[in-house]
Amino acid sequence: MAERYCLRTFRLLVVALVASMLALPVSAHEGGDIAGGFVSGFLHPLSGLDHVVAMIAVGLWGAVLKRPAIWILPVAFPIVMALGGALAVRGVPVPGVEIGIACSAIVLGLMVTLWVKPALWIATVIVASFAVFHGHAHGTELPEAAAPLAYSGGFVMATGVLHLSGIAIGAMMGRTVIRVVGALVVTVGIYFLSGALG
Amino acid sequence: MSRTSGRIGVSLLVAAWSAKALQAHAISTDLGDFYGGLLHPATAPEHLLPMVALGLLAGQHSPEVGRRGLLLFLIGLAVGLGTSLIDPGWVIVARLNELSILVAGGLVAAAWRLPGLLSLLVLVFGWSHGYGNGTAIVDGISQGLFSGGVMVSGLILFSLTAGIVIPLKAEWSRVAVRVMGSWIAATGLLLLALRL
Repeated sequence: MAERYCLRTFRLLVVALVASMLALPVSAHEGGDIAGGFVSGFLHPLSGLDHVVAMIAVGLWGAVLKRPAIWILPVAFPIVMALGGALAVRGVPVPGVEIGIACSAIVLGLMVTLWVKPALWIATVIVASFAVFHGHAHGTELPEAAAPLAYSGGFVMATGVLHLSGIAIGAMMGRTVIRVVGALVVTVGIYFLSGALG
Repeated sequence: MSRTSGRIGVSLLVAAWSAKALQAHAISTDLGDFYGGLLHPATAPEHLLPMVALGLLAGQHSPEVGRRGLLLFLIGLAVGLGTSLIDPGWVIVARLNELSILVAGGLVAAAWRLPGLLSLLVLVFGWSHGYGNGTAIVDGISQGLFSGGVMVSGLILFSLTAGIVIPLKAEWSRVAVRVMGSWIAATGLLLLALRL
């Protein structure tokens, strides 16, 4: 009973935190519009289909791998992604970011479609490697953001939501559906790779 | 904390944060500066995120450790507020506050149970955030009322988050807390990269 109450209040707290980011003119410190910065950051991963499918694939693959990968990947990914973002903020170039993002969709989609279950450390290395590319792409626009902290929070949270979507699909759907979704991810990745190379 | 007071507290917080045109200083009442202090940490992500993270971190420990953490946090907050009134010019404290986002969030993500480290961190970061909030007290603002508001805000944020996390038993719920920690840590890492 106490746990159910706490879970409900936990959800309310998450809503309150998001609401605090969206409260329009309320800004104790940042000169820029916090709500605008948060929304802008939140929409950034969602505005690129290559980002969307790759992040869903991370969650899907976690669901395929089961414990402990199903929770290690969503916990570790944001921090490694932030490392990539930090590189972008500091002006450190990462070659082939768009190619890397497209390849992440292809590779992760194949892992799901073919139901590949490597050792946890291998899966973590693969995901972490691609996380750097995604983070770099998001971080490139961070210095120009009017409210960088809110922007950062926005795109980190959006990425996490996409992971959760993938986990939810993986947890609720059967193997066939999961594999089909994986194949769709691969298709989108190939499309973007051809665009990046072309 | 009773169920009813918890819901009231959360509802008040949501109502305050969802306000469209929020007047931080209610000039028509003498308590305007109190509300200003109350809402100052809650409307600045660089204070809100680490305070929530410290509360989550305390919640990952036992109730006894969490209660001690709350007390130490409030002591740190009070001392920090007092320090800022004496000498508000320590720029390094802003960097410390930004670092607290990464450290607190990272420890929540890692879910390391280190009561001694928790006590140290809540004291140090409580001080730094108290100092950071105190530097917002400019001429014309009541120091006592504003500080009182900051203390109440810190009490609510810390105790609410810790109180929610402590009873969580299901694995998925504890993983969700760790995921929130990683989000906070990632945000802190990006901010540090930008500021340093």
